[in-house]
Amino acid sequence: MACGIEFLFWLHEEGFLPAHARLLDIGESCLYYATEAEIRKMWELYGCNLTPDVYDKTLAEYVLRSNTISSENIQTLFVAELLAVTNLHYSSMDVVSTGFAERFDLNRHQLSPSLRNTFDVVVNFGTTEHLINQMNAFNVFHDACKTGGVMFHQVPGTGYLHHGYFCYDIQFFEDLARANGYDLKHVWYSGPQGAGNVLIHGDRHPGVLDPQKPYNNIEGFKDQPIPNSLINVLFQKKVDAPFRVGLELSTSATNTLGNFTSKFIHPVSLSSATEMPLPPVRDPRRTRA
Amino acid sequence: MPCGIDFIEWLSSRGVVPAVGHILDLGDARLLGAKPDEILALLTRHGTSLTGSALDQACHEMSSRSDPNGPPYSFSLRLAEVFATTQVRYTALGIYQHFSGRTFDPNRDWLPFRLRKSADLTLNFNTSSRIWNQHNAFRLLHNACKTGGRMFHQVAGTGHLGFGMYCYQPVLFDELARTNDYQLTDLWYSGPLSSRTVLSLAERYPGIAESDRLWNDVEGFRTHPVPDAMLNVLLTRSNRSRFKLPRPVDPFAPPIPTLAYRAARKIYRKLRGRN
Repeated sequence: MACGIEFLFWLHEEGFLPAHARLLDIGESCLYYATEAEIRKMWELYGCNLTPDVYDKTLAEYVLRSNTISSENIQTLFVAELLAVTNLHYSSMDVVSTGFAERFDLNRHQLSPSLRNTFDVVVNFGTTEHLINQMNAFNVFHDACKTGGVMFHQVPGTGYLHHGYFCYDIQFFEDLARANGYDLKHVWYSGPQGAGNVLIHGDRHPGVLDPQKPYNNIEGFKDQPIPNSLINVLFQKKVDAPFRVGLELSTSATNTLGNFTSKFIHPVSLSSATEMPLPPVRDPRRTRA
Repeated sequence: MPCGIDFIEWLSSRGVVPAVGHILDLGDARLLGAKPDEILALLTRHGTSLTGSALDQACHEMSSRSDPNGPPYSFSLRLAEVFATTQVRYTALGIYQHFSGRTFDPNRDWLPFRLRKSADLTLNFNTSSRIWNQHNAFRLLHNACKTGGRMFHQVAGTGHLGFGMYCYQPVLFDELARTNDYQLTDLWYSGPLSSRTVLSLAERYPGIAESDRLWNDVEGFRTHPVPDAMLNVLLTRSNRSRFKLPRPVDPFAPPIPTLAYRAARKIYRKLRGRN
């Protein structure tokens, strides 16, 4: 995962990332395209314990590595390295071994009780779209963040047709905030950054280029590229309560059905379709003490 | 969630909808845009018990309620009604109690035992995009499907801003198929339908239209609408194994210590310390 240093500055300017704060990065982030001035500024804001003789050398190395993406010989800079010399308490978790992060599988693992309610800031720079168990992942964020702390998500909002499993809708974060009493402080999109076309999947899935498929308007798709953009969301956790989720029903028609009946379904088959055998209920008076 | 007659017809004419068998629908789907002759063809193909004028009357009545611009939602035609008169057994899993389904929370509930490996076809007409627990949603469809059965997903692929919670990428279905040994029989997009820009959401969140936000190119967004498209995926389950989650693979990484492993290691160290 990757983050722009501007977003760390933004968190600082908004007062969410004070000195000595505990920051948890879920999915260890690389730091992309940081300039020398930006790294200097970061170290001025949060202190830097590098001695003068290594300061310049380290700075030059970090700038080079932050601006080197996908090289076989040079490892891109991790946020962990930048912040390790400051007074921020940075921790990270990742499913793959990166050298700095604790191994953690967001699909399966739950946060250790000792880490619950302990972080001032929890960030998700494009991690959760890579996993299926969304409920567990957002439960981990919720558990890690202390009451009054903030959670910052930067995930695909539109496009990114070759990246991750999901794009998130604003509705997702609205419902999350409603269910857990979060204060939804900021929402905006970043981009557009390039565009893709769904027809690019045609090389792996021939059906994408098959106009015989129902409603597959190839010419229409050709003319309508999908812009890539990220959705940025900042929540503040207000209540210390277990994580909760709901179902997105506000845009569904299902809940308007009420007592809908149909003449095509015979009452006998109706009851057989709906009545599920319930487990036997034990009478507590007959249970041994 | 709604489904178009063309998709049911496509599935039916290719033998994906069984002539006699069991369909399990995640969500209680409404059937939209069905004309009387299309309903007649569907009912006839799947062995309807109606005949003569009763059949004609049923087709017209169903069709009148299938028009998305006609009757209110509450009276629109359910897929359950169409299959009720045929040899196909149809079960819906919806969170509201209806005639065709049972109350079910797809975030938490496990599939009832009697429905496991029972379905020749499972349907997901964009219901999963409203469910938080994606793991459970895909697991229960897996568990419901017979070996050799099919799973059809029609989910939001692009756009659908402010509607549902997720848009799905084909990578998800590639990975699900790879991990669970499904055959990915078909995949295509339907659309493009209407399009909107992300700025249309600015009424709810003014920050979306504020150009001083980081990397928020409002003018760029204005000229780049996002078209709505649905992603259609047909999978075939080819073995009996349990549902597996796709996960990133790092061949050089040591195994991840599980909680049980950590607990065991703690006890081991404690005991060793005592000895």
